[in-house]
Amino acid sequence: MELLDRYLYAVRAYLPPAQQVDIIRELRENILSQVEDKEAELGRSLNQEEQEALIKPYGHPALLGLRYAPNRYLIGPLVFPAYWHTLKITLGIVAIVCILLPEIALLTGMRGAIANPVGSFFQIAALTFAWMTLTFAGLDYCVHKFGLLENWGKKWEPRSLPPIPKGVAAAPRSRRLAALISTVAVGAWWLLALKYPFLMMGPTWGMIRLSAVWEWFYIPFILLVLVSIAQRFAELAWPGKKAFALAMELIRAGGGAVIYFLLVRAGDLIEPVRTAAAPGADAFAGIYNTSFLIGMTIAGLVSLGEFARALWLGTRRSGGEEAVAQCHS
Amino acid sequence: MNEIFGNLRLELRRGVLTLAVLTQLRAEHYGYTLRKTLTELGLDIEENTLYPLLRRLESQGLLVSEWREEDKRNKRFYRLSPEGHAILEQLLAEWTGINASIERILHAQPEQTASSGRN
Repeated sequence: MELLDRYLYAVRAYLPPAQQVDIIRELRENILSQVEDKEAELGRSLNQEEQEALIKPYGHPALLGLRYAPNRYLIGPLVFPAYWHTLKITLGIVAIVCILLPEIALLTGMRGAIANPVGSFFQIAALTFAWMTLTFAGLDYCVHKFGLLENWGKKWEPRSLPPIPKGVAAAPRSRRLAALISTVAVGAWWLLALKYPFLMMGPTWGMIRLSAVWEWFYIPFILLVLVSIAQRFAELAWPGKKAFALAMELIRAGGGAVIYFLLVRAGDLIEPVRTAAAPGADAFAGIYNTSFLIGMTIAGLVSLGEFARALWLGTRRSGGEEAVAQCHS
Repeated sequence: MNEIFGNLRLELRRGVLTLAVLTQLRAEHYGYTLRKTLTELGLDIEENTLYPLLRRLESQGLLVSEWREEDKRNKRFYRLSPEGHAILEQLLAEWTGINASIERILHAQPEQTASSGRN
């Protein structure tokens, strides 16, 4: 039953990862028993409309999948995975900014230049956690208050289920949503930081400034952010249509690798502002240039790896069907 | 008004459905036959309510389950755990008590209710 496979494949994305295979196997058996009963009653196989009528009462894949999720009090199972994924990414960025850069400062002899990096990390992380939790709790409240999920589920028809994608299985929807949100947030922050560098430099701004090299790269960075957002949006909205997202991934990763390696070869990216009030400007500029050199090299290598992975995926054809086959008894 | 009735009905049914499922699982069933039996006995329960409920009751230790072959297909069979039996007895005693009280309230004379209220 191809429609049943499509339905179960869609439900699977909303189930707790550890139980996905087991729950889908059980759902499959229950639905097949129901099909057998119905066919015995009619004395023939079910047609497409009858199959749709049988599956429809199970509800939209998201509604069914979320009923298997554990209960949570502040943020419900619909919003929680996106919240958790975004929180982890954001705290990772905070950790890198607060801990890694001051560590480089210490290693290069600027001991004490940035006081108590671990203390700053916990302060900023606590604030990030609080704001993010409030935002997602508000989102969850709106979803329930206005019955968005129920209204969305009422209009659902089984025939609208997408085909099972060939190629690598799509990530869960919550993860794809979190990827879109974090791409928009990080992209916006990066473009703003290039225009208003104090967002990146914090209290050291005034002693140092971005060199003129960055102006050459501003428009390429805008294009890169737009391509990244398009890719994440395509992955979220059309998980079955892999070609567009893959093309965006190739452009983003390939373009990113070129930009990062050009930046590495561009010389000093940060210049000191030499004034009487900032005697350590040269040293600070040195620290930031070293940090950027390391950061851009890593980013370039990661982009190159992603480009190679996207190329490899483009030539591979399997995945979604394998995921469904796992759930057959 | 319909929305208020809908919400109250949902609350009322939630506990009753759990009680009905636990009672029915004194004998072993798999999901589909359990739903079919409950429907035949007059208690209609949606698939997307029953199947997640079975998992939740199992995670609470009230049910045990096992995959077993029947009619050449593997099915997940559920039944009450020893703890589930103990909880069911308590719930049934509670249910019987509440049911008897509601019956008495429904059949009480209006004067009797009013005089009880004044005392």
